[in-house]
Amino acid sequence: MLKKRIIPCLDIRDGRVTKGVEFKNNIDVGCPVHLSEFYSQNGADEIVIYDITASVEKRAPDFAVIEKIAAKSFVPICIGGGIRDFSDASHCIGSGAEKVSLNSIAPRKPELITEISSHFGVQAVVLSLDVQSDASCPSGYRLFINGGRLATEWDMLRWLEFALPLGVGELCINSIDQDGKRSGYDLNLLRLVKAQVRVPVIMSGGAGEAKHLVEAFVEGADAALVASIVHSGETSVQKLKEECTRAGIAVRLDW
Amino acid sequence: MKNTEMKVGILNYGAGNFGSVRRAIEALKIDPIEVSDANALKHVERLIFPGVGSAQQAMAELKRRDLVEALQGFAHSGRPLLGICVGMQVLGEWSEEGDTVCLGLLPFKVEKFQCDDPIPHMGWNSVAWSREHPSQEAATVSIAADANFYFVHSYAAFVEKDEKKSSHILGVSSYGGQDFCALVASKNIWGAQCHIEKSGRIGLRLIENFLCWEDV
Repeated sequence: MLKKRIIPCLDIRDGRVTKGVEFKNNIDVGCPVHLSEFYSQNGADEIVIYDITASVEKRAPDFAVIEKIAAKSFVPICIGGGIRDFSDASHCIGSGAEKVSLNSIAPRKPELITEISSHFGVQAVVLSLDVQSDASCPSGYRLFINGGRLATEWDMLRWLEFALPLGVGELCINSIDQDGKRSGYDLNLLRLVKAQVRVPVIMSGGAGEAKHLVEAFVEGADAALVASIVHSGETSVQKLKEECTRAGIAVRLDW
Repeated sequence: MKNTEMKVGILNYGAGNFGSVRRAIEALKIDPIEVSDANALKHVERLIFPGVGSAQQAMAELKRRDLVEALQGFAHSGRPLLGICVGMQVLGEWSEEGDTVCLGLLPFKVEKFQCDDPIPHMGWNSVAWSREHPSQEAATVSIAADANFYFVHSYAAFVEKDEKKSSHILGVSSYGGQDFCALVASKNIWGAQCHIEKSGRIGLRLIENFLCWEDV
């Protein structure tokens, strides 16, 4: 049986893992290579690395760090932030990533989705969306880019309708409203997305305790991104998985 | 690994997961040999055959590099060969993907998933071992029943009802109501549909078990 995935998310700034609240006020969490290795050996089903300033600083992700992470972490690795063209994506995959996550670049250059997926397969392309509730949008959510700093003209669902057929293997939905608040994922947002798409959905933003992951999995999320709650050490991927198992959710428990 | 002097080759024919397989072998304290042509095949004792993408592309690349007969010769020489993902699929007879004739080293054909669940089948899934398989004991050292491995694929070698055609099936997994070969083996020829190079400690263990396998 296919398992629900729990994915630690490492936001990198100046070579260090950091964590913010509502995409701001970042604090230092540790070294990305050590943390990835630790998580991969302790139940993480995948690792997501976001180079959160690469896009704004108009530079590529740090390929040397990806290479170091991949030499120690034998689970799938997804890289986001700073992927501007096919060559960046190709370098990420060549450095040991299985997937690239496209966020700010996707509305600006949607053809990049097709370029990457037609070469590496759709499974290599994760479309990542930062969305915020906005009553003026038909779906109730607006698409943001540049780490949540810039509003786009896109209604979230219109954007999905447009972008998914370009060759997206997976979606990662980040709720700006819920980010770092630890009060639970935006389940209304998840339901809206699941009703529209068939690709796997990774839910992100707002996990505060195991119950929140269980809620998201019950609502159809295929994977849940966790950051603050595991980085702070107050819980672990293992403990989260034990709780999910008790709630009847099938997760991977052997590693 | 005990025998770190073993000459382990990894076929490099442009497949995307060559680097990941190399890193996995290095994690087992073995310095692998990159094999990119038929001549280099002569110098390795065991070969790992990675693969990502389509069976059609993979076979076209093998042909372009004159590796088809060389690989068949390698397998027939009795030296251990392990195909991963598309590398496993092309060990079979035929793939529906691009109507592709494959290497014909194992008696299976590869078809697309026919199910309502999302394709590709992606994520961690459990593998049930076939008890009767002669390599079962060697393959499963330190790996529990129903261990989970990481999969990404849209095509698979589905389990056939005819038992004569299933003696190579070492492990079975299921997705969208369809049972398929997750691991296959026939003496020295092994294959893993799952990405064992990205399946954590258990995946590395399976690679190590392959590297330790001896014909008895």
